Amino acid sequence: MNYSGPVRTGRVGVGELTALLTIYTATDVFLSYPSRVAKESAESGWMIPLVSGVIVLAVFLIINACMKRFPDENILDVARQELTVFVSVPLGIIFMLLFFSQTALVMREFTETVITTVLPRTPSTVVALLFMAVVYYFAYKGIEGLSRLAMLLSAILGIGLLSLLIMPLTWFDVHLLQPFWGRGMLTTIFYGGTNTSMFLNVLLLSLLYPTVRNQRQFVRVGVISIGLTAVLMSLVLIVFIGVFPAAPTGQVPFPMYQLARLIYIGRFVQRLESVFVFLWTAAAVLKMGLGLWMTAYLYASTFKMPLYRPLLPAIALALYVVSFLPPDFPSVQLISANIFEPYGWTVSIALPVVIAVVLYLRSGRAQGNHSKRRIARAARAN
Amino acid sequence: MDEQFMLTPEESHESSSDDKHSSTIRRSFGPKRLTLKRMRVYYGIRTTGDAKDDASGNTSVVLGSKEVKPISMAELHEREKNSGANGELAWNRRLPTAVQHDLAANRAIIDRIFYLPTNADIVKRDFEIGGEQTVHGMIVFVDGIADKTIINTAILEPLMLLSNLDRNQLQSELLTRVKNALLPGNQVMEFKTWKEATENILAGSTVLFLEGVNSILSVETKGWEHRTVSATQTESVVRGPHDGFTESFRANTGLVRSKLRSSELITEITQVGKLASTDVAIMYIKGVVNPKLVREVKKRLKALVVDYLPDSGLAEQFLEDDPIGVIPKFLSTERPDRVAYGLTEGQVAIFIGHSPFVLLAPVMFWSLLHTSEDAYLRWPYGTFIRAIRMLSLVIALLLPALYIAVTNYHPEMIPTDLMLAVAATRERVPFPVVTEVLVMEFSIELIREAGIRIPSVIGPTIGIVGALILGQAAVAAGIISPLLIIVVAVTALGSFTMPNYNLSFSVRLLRFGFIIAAATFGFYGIILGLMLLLMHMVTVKSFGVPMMAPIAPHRNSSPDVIRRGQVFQMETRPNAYFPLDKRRQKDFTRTWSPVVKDYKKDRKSLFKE
Repeated sequence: MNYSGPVRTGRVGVGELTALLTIYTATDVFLSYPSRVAKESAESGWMIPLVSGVIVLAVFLIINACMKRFPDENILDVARQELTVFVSVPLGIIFMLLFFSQTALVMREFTETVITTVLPRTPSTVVALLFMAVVYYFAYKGIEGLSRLAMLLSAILGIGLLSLLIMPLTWFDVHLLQPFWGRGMLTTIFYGGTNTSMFLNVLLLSLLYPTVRNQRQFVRVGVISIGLTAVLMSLVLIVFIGVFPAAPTGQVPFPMYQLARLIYIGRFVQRLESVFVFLWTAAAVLKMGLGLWMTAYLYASTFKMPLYRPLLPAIALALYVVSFLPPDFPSVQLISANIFEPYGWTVSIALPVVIAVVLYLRSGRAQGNHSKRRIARAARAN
Repeated sequence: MDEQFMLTPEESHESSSDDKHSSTIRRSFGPKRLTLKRMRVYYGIRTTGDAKDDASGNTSVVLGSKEVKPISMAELHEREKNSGANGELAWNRRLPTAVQHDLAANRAIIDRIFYLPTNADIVKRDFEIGGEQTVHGMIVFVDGIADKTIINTAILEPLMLLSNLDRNQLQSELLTRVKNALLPGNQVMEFKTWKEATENILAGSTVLFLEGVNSILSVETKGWEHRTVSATQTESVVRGPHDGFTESFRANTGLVRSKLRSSELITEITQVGKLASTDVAIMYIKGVVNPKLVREVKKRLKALVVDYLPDSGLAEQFLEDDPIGVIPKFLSTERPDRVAYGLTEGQVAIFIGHSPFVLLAPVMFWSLLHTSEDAYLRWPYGTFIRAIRMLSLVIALLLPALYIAVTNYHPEMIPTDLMLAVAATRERVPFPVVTEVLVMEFSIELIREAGIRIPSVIGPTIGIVGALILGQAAVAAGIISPLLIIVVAVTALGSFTMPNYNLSFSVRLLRFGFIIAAATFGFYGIILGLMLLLMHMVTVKSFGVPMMAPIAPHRNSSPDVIRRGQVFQMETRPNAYFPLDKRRQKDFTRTWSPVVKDYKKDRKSLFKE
């Protein structure tokens, strides 16, 4: 079949995409992210997501300004046309590998979380297999289903998260948040910079650009999802650091789980951690579904395949296998802390912005290129 | 049916529609002008140019189309008898499409079509239309579905007793005179083909044949016994109309039309079914409904080629978008007011034959949880009962599963005292919780199923025996814990609150799925199951409309999804149906209210600035 168009994805609404991106990024608060940040920056840990958020927002606005010239096309398509396949294919593979490895890592982390918290005697392979089955179905349904489900769950997850933050406040001590700058302002800003690795919003947005139904509101999607994620993460960290003293926070493997365990409001409302399993499992399935879908979508669009669904079984199997490569949970955390966080931003933030700026400059130089492409696109559509 | 030539008295102005069945060669024969018609007639011999063997392997007598030789009726009959087809007459082999001039031939065809006299339901009544020179006529109807009073007083009496026809009138004039002056029936239609004649007879009309006229008159005499319009069986409300659809196609469409008196309300009727046709009506409001939706409904109905379509329940299965899922994709309702309101929102109603359930499409999942009473009650009450129903959906779906998960996997969730009480009640029970739950759920399903089948006289007794005595005995025997009885009873009540019968089935089925998931993986299993279900629900569509709209995907809508908003806030129709006319009421419908007056004044002054 001679097919030259992009992979068909369906279109998503603005609200739906905002919800999906927010859930995708903010789900990290259910993992070891809060504890890692609290370890890095002690009392001022709650500022880190805000600092990261500001940086990411700036980068997003730069990319948006550059990519405005190429409506209806994502960064890979534009790179292919402007910089040839010798750039776009390696670029696509790098992005794909980022999503793949991140999803594998998250899958392992969540599997371990489930085993530690609710199913201690179930083999991790079974837990992961169930996860994989649901995630496969989610990825199969694609961005349309994922974004709608995110929209549907956003209210429930929001209310759940807020109540999870409010209920342990009986243990909250504002003095634990002092000194205000923690390990110092520079440390906070430095870690705020490296933690931008957690924000895959920018990369996702630059790749999902053509799927948005209403592109005029694209900036709104980016700004709201990045801002909301940063605020949510920061709120979680405020409660976390305010409840647990700074010294042991780094040792808590599942901060949200520990917070839920602390809940004690009278005899009947206590130990609600099982209830909150709902929150993180729901969020995790969505996150991994999008991760798997992105991997398949990027693979398909890098190599100009018309469909992504036939790739799913192979990628899902690979994910399953790769997620079991680290021998144990501490080594998973080490990979997260030593590889993803310090270097992840180079792919998730720096690479898209560099590419976008290069594309912007090139298209500005080669005048009329864009209009030629627009004509070609119109012809293709006809 | 064969093509052959026969002599007929010339008609001065033969209607052109007749040309389908005959081509006329005008020739003069003797003093009276006769026309030799080469026509497809019922009796006759094959006149095809080439001598082809018929199905029975016998070669018919063939007259070359160029060698035209008129023959008499008696000779024709004789030839036919001797043609070798086991004595079978030509009219016993194939049936013509057009009604014949000759009354005897038509009578023979009627016998063939309805297998008379074996078939006792069909009544043929020969009579003569009065006057000095009588004209022979015949009426045909189905006993039991045609109203005999109408036949006697509006067909036979005027024709036989009160008429005076001139038999020398031309056939078209004869028919017109009978139609216009002699038949006082309120709906009289003229047809020319046997297909139409048969359909009309089977639909309860009385069909009139006249000697020498190759058309029929169908008089509307439908009048079979059916249940009168009575209270709905499955969608009862306290506040609001109580009438429900019944087993009468026309009464059902009439019920909706009587509620929705609009000239824009359109009812298109078609037939489905090859063996026995069923009337199918689609109803919509022009100018409100999206024409693409109407086209889609018609397209799907057109593709529905079956031999028989007995009920809307089957039509639903043929027409739905995704046949695998558990969620119903139509709103099947018994309530005319529900259909009328749905039509004003931009939905299409599909009436299938005499089914008392009408289908509304497309439908959003939330509508399956709504009742018309939500709207008739003031908004706080409406919102309250809706909230109860949403909660009961969760209970009916998840409560037994949650009970299993908590007792098996997460006992720490419940306070210690309660846990001890649960453990104490379970101490004597020899089964695992899941077995207990499955046994009780199965018993409840038995009671429910038995409750429908049991004769209504002893129904309540069985309910008491089943629910109370069995439950009490099970607890006393120590095979079921008392707490579980409460769980199962509340679950059953929850599933009874589902206002849609189909939805309550999907909840019942899914409940068992969740019970298994909870028994094997606790909360984790329930959550994964729930996520799968939700993902299915957000991607499933009803006639192209995502069923979880207007929430996921988000579509603009009046506050009538989860809560019931104030009625004067509901200015727009649901956007998910893409109606042509999006507004249903003015922004301000309470202009007399001081609050609104002040608001409007403020707004005006704001715009001035």
